Amino acid sequence: MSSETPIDDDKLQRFYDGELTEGEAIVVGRDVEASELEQARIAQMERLGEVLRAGAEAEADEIDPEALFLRIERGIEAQPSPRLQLIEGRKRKQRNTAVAAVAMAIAAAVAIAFLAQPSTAPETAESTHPDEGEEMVAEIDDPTQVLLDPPGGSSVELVEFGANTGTVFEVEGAQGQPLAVVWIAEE
Amino acid sequence: MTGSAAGEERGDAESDEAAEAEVNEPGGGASKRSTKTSAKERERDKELVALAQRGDSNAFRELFDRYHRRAFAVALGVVKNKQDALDIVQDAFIKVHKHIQNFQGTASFYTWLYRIVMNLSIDHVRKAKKGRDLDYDDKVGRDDENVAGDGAIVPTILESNPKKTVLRRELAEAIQQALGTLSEDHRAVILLREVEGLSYEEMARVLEVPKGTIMSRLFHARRNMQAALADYVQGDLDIQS
Repeated sequence: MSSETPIDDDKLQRFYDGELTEGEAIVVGRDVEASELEQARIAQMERLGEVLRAGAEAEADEIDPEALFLRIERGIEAQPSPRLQLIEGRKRKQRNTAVAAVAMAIAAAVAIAFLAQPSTAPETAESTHPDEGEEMVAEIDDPTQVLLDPPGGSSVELVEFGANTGTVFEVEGAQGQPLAVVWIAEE
Repeated sequence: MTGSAAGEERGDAESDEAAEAEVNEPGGGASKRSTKTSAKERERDKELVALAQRGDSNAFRELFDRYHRRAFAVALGVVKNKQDALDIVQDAFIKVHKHIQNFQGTASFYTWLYRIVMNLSIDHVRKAKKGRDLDYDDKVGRDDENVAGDGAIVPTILESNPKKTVLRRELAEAIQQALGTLSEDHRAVILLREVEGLSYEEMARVLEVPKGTIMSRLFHARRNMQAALADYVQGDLDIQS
């Protein structure tokens, strides 16, 4: 390559960052060796990297790791620990307050499908089909909390929270029966 | 939890596996650091993640020790405020702890962590722009952190060598000022490359943009930073002091 023709910016940057193929890097490396201008450009990139790393080190030196870790431990302890499962919806546009909460609660209730397997039902392929089994319908008192009492042998197959997040807990009811609690957190 | 972080934790561990497989093996090049996290370190990360998944708190602590400084540097570069950056590092490790069971041990831990940090940082900046980043609890938290005690993450007494302290502080401030002239996207990419040593492929996965965008942002960020830090980049100032 002629020394009057600078290596294009993109290629030189990829050379510096080690992002060229081996063959490309050999060719560009030769051109750099032959040109003081290119060497100076490389040196500037190296120097900038050194400056940024030195600055980052200086900033990080001011951290008290013990105090930071203590805060993290406290944060972890403060976290609820769901017993069963955390299901998260996809992030979408944040919607507005109560309307969204009610809508999502209803959506969650509708979307919850139970595979009802009553202990008294004959164990045939047909009888385990959801359409023929016992189906639970949630009663919604609090739009952000849906309490369900699944019959024995049933399980939660799917909970769709849409744009929100939610958690499925298993708790013990007043009579000692297992209850599934669906907690929907509005975001 | 922020939605973006949640998204990160959901399934990106698996996609990171591909990223790790493609971690750059440079075909030569001038850079002395292709990636700061060596294969040996990644192997150790996997061990620590596996132990942490089994509830080993020492392993979690070691992951924190290995990465909190770098996570802080990334967060600070984006949010430009130490206390906010510390809050982000704190939240990021809490999320790591909470979701580590879902993380695939074969993936690169640091890419996952940086993605969480970056998402939290960018969320923070966007919220701040909308002028609703502080609520009452946040303000109380910051007040607490300014006094001595276990809430004081940034010590008020620095180093015994005053000259060194001053020079390092000046450098750090100059860098923060220069970073402030960049967009948050450009800040993120230059920090991930120069401070963390991530490859283009890794950065593309962390920032969820094409590699071509990474290259373009990196080029412009470097050019602007070289101009803003000309005294340091072109001069003979001792940055290591």
